[in-house]
Amino acid sequence: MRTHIKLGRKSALLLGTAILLVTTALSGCSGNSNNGGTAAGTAEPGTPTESSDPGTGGIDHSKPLTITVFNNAANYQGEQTGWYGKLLKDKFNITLNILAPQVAGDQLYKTRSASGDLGDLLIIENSQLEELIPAGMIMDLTDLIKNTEHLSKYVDNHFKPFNVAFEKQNPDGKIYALPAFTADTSPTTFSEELPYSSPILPWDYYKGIGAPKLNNLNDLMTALKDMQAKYPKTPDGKPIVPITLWKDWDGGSMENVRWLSNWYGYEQPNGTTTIQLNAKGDIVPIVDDNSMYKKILQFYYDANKMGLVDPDSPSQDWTKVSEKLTNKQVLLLWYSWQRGFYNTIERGNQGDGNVAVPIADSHLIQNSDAYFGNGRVFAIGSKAKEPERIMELMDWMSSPEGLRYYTNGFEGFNYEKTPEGKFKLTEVGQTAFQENTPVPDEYGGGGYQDGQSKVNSMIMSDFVVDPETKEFYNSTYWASTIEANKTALTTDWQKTYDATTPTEYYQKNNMIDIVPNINTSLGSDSSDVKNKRSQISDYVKNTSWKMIFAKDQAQFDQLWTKLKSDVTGLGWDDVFAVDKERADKIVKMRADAIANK
Amino acid sequence: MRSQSIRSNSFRKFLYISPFMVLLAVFSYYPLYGWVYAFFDYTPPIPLSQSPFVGFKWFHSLVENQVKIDQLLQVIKNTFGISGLGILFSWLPMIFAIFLTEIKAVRFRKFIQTVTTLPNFISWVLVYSLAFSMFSSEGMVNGFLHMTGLSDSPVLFLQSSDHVWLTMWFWATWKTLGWSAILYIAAIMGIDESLYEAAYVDGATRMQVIRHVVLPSMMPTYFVLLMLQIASFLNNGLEQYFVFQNAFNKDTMQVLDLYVYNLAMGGGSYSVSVAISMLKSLISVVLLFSVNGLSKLLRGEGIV
Repeated sequence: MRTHIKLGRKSALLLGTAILLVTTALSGCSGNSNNGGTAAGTAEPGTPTESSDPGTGGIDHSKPLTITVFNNAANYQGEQTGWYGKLLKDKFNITLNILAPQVAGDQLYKTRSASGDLGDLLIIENSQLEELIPAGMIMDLTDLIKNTEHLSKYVDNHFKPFNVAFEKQNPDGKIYALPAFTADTSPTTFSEELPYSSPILPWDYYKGIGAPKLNNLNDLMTALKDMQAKYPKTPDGKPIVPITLWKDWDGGSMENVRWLSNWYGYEQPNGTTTIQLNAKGDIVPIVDDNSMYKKILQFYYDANKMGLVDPDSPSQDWTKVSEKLTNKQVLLLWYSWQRGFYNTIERGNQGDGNVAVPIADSHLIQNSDAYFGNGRVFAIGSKAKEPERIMELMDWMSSPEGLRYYTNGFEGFNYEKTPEGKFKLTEVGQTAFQENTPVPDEYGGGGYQDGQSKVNSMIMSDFVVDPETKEFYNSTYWASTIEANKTALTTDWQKTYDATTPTEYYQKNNMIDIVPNINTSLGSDSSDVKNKRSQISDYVKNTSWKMIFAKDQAQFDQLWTKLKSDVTGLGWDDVFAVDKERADKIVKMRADAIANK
Repeated sequence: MRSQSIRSNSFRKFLYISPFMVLLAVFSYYPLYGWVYAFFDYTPPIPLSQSPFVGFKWFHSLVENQVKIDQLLQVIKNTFGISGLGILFSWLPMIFAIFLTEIKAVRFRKFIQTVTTLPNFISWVLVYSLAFSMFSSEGMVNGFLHMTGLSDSPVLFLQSSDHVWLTMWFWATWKTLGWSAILYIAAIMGIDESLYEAAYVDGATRMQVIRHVVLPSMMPTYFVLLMLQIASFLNNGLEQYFVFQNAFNKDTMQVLDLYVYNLAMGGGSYSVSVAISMLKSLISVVLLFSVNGLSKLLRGEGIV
């Protein structure tokens, strides 16, 4: 279960910071949208900008309906209020009551599922779905979805393949669940400008030490050392820590080690904890002497010996780290969304900000767009009242109108139409999330951010093309946004690396493997394996931390040797066998996806 | 006639306590039914009736190999160590209460009492953030050490595995001292004034009054509380250790409650945690009876 929390936090964070990134990146750009604030009054409250009639199908909206949403993705528990709440109330006479295990704790799932009724609308993990279908707690949506206007379009390519893969629980091939954050590009495309994990450094400091070419991790450490020597403190006197680590999201292994392994082609698929997998399909146990996991541990250990690792790493939490990121106290970043804590357009114009700095011998592994979803699903509880109305709501959420509201807010307030028929963020829209701008009363009042959808998940993602503008719903990728984002920082970077985006650079230089997105039933652990997995994970995490902060190489090696023998005692072989089977399935499905391309 | 009235009278008396017996049955005995979960392979959405019966599998899994046995022994050692320290210093709140009531300036006394009681109401999460801001590498204490030239490199207090039991005891004491003193203060207020007067007439000093009047009058309270503390010897909670744990101190900090939590909620099963808590109850009962026996032996009276 711990991985679920982590996943939840991560995707929530990812979304939050992605929005933050866009808004901060644009906050300085006010040149040509003076009318942003005043244009807000033009649209009627709750009136769709494009007609999608919720009244069709003879559904009666006269009675108010409260839907209990059991939501693994939500960071908020309680009633959906604010402008999104008002929108749903006006349109569908529906109120959302959100239950969030991330807020209330993991046991919420256990207690509610034990009682036999999880909720009306469920946003849950694949593995939970596998437990709940046989328990008879999930409604069969096969017939309901046929009558939908928008969702029915995605059944054959997206929903059906996903549901059919749950052979054991779903022998008849019914549609029980709709995968979350489904993209409409292709199973092998990667649309983002920066891989999820890659080396990221502050551009001005890096240039300050002469922008040395980074051939390998040793060069990276030297560069970090030089930067630290030249810039020991922030302008307001806070010490700069080249590498900072945190333990909050550690799941099966140490999360900070897991993601750096991606730089050298090895990922740890979700649902597994004991293995790493590369694009060729090699499966390596993380306790193998030659595993990438060990190599990255060694890197952190060496870095710590050079004084590059933040001494507070083991005792601090993510909140503390994000504070340091906001203060530009950290030199090495590795998640794409971490840039958003510091980068702004204003700073970008002065060439100040965090950018990708490729390491020559690295070879990234990156999952493609979530064509089949991201590991969570939307489902309806078998005891839900008025499932037609819930389905209607889900259908609307996946309509152009619903997607625009979810990702970008209101036309006229957050964004406006350009003469070319595209969208462009208004001045208010650029900072509405960040500054929690007050929303006009006609839309429901309150702060913009407070009123956003607390569901924090969607069925179709923002990497779906809006039929009206032919651009993604994700405003980062609007032509107007890209144009506005041309700062000294980006142009300087583009000139240096002769590429428009880091993703393009990595692809051009053959430094990245994009593996097809796989989202399927991997089977849930038996309680025996669950138990062993939990104990092994605990042991691996603790030892990893100790190894990074070991006294000397001898202690490092000794801890590693003990780790290898102790995990065997904790039942390593059984857990590994399960993970290997899962990895084999992933490898096979990836091969199929490439073959069908 | 007569015997009938006695009978109806005793029935009425039984009625007086029956609501409490019902409560007891519902909240103390009915939950014991939950122990049955330890013998099944139970995962929540599947009802117990459909879960396979596995006998003593989970009990066995706790000790199925040397690594797990070592881990469990270490956990028990930690639990005994930390609880033992607590019991060793269980007289502290009493002494504190005695000295507090000796303060004659009422305002000052109230002030001290408030200040020492307040931490009891702060959550451990907040206590940890306080600890972090004081003892992290950029924290106050390291700042002071650096400023005075006492140390060059920051001392990593929170990541050290040395003296963990002692520091944990210290935090717990800091948090609960004033709160636990309340009962003793009440007991002191209940001491017969005439005892004091007699002592003063006999020319006793303040310390002598404390030694010969106050302390003996406090003993019954102390022993009752001690016994309660021993009964919950194994329940030293998990919140405190949960927030303070990290890779470096976990080995010496993980107590039974935290172990159960990490095992059950961290990813494992209900059944194992039920198995451990059954063992816990068993040990607690044994401990309680042995202390009660000891008390009978030493003081001639026990509570059970």
